[in-house]
Amino acid sequence: MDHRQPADRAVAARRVGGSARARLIVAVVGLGLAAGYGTVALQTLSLGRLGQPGAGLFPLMVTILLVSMSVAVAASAWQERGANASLVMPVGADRRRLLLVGTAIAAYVAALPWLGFFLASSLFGSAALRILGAGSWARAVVLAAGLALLTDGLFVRLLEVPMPRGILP
Amino acid sequence: MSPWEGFLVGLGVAVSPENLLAALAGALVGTAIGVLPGLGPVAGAALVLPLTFTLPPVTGLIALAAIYYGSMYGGSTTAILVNVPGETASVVTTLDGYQMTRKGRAGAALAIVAFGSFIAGTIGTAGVMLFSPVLSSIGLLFGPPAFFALTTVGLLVLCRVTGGSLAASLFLVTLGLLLSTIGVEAITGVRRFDFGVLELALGLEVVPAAVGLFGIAEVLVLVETLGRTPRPRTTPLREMLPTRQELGRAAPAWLRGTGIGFLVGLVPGPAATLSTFMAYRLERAVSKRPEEFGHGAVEGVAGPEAANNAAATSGLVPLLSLGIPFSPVLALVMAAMMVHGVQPGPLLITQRPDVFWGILASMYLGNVALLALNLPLVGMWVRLLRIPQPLLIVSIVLFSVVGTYAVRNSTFDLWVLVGFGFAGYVLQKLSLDRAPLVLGLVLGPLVEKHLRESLFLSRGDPAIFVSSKIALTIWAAGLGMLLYSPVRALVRGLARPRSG
Repeated sequence: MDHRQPADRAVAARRVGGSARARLIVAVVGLGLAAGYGTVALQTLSLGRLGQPGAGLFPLMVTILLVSMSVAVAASAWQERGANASLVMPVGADRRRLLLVGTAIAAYVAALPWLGFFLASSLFGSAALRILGAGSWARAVVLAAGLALLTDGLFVRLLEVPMPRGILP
Repeated sequence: MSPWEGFLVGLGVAVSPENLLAALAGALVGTAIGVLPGLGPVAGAALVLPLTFTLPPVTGLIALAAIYYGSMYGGSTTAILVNVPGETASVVTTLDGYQMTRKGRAGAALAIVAFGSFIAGTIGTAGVMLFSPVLSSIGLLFGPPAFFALTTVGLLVLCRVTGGSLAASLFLVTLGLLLSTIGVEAITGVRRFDFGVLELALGLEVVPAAVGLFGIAEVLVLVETLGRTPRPRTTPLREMLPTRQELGRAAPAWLRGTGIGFLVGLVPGPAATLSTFMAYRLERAVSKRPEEFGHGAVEGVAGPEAANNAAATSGLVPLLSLGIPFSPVLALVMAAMMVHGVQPGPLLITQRPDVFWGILASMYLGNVALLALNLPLVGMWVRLLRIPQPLLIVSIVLFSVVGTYAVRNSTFDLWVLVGFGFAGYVLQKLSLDRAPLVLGLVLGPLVEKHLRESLFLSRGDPAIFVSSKIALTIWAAGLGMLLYSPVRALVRGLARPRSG
């Protein structure tokens, strides 16, 4: 549940920067990626001849295309720089919740191979439910264990999806 | 084998208990996915896709197809009841569907959607039956240059009609093409861009990428906007049946919508969404009461809903007959086919008639099941909207992880899932469509294969790309679709000063 006042909620989604500026950053990232990718392609792959194209020909074409598209994105962003379009980014409680759940997902994936599916899912579920305000720790743990048990029963036991067993026998 | 003989063969396959169950369960799961806000057909299909790998090939593909058309149907329920489209193809339905709800005609609107989906699905399936074999036989005439033209034009046209700027969409397609080159190259077996990492040498799997981009990214959006989803309205059963007058207004709209949807579904692009807008415009144009549109016009619900279901069905024609998916969901269906060892394309109909006709026949049965089950189950779908969001969020993450790991038991894929999830969230924030990235990743290997085969065949003569009539026609059609809007804008721009 969202316990904030309507006024707080209204400011929670803050409009920051411009979408044009963000797209310029995307274009720069694209150019950097194209430079790295193209360099590796030219250094490690053979281009061959046109009649016998090597494994490097298509990556070279992709590099040229990526440079062109990055420039096109930058150009369109430059044209839109005066427009009113802006990015809506989360702030305050929204951002905190997003970062915590994002971290929990990453920690879940890291812990899965050695804790096993049931235990890792129960821990992740408990933490996520608590962050998302689904009640007390006890309620979160019970709900998460129930969900993990249900998923484990359906997919691992019934459909025989071989999930990591981890430290559990 | 004639289409009718084929259909009978398909019915034989589809009515086996496990396939019937797969179609029924898939349609219901798909509807649930469509109903849940934030989970569209792509995210839903991506989440459930790996689980179909545990089933026999035909059964798995029947389940996946059922999830697809089930989700198209389910997306309308939330659009009508709470003004929240379950997926983008239902956006238009909110315009008049929600207004019907406000007038106390929610049940009638839902029934009109259900009947319309059934009619569109049935006519669409018949169309696929008739068109696919014809297109398959034409597809047999395609050489590598024609396939290269088709895949390239498909990607370009998709970028033209998808949301956002053309440059941004092309940028994301290129990024998808780049990612598709990671791993062992198919023709000479050379390892590319793996940096000595074994998992990278195996290439990037489509499933973790798609589940991350659509499933995990949607989870992050749900986390951010927690508690801001409107509560559903309860629908009394007595409201369920449309009046005779409402049915009379809906019937021609269903047929017009089906026609538009079927044709739009055959060309590259987000056909389901596009067809709903086109059908809505057409209904308003031909209506005797255009002033009712936006205030609960029956035709405004019937036409677009029939169109989106027909487009979803006819999209299977290019996939099954040419092996080219024109939408992200169909790209996932194609990925599933390949995991099952089934190669979609012109030879599918002769080499695997059980798969080809089995899927088509099951679609018809699935449409019957949707009609029979969904009207009585409207109350249940509404209750589904009341599932606490925290539980929904945790469930989606668990399903995503199981689904991704099931593909090749790889922890590396789970990190790909997380990485693409965060990337998908950022793309959504930047209002960039994620579909071109997935299509680039799926079609990349095909584009490269046909490009290099063409060059091998012609000994390096680039003229081969326009040497056949089929390739030339495809290039010309693609060019026409790409240039239509800019040329029209230019002509209008030139005409304006003269008239002024």
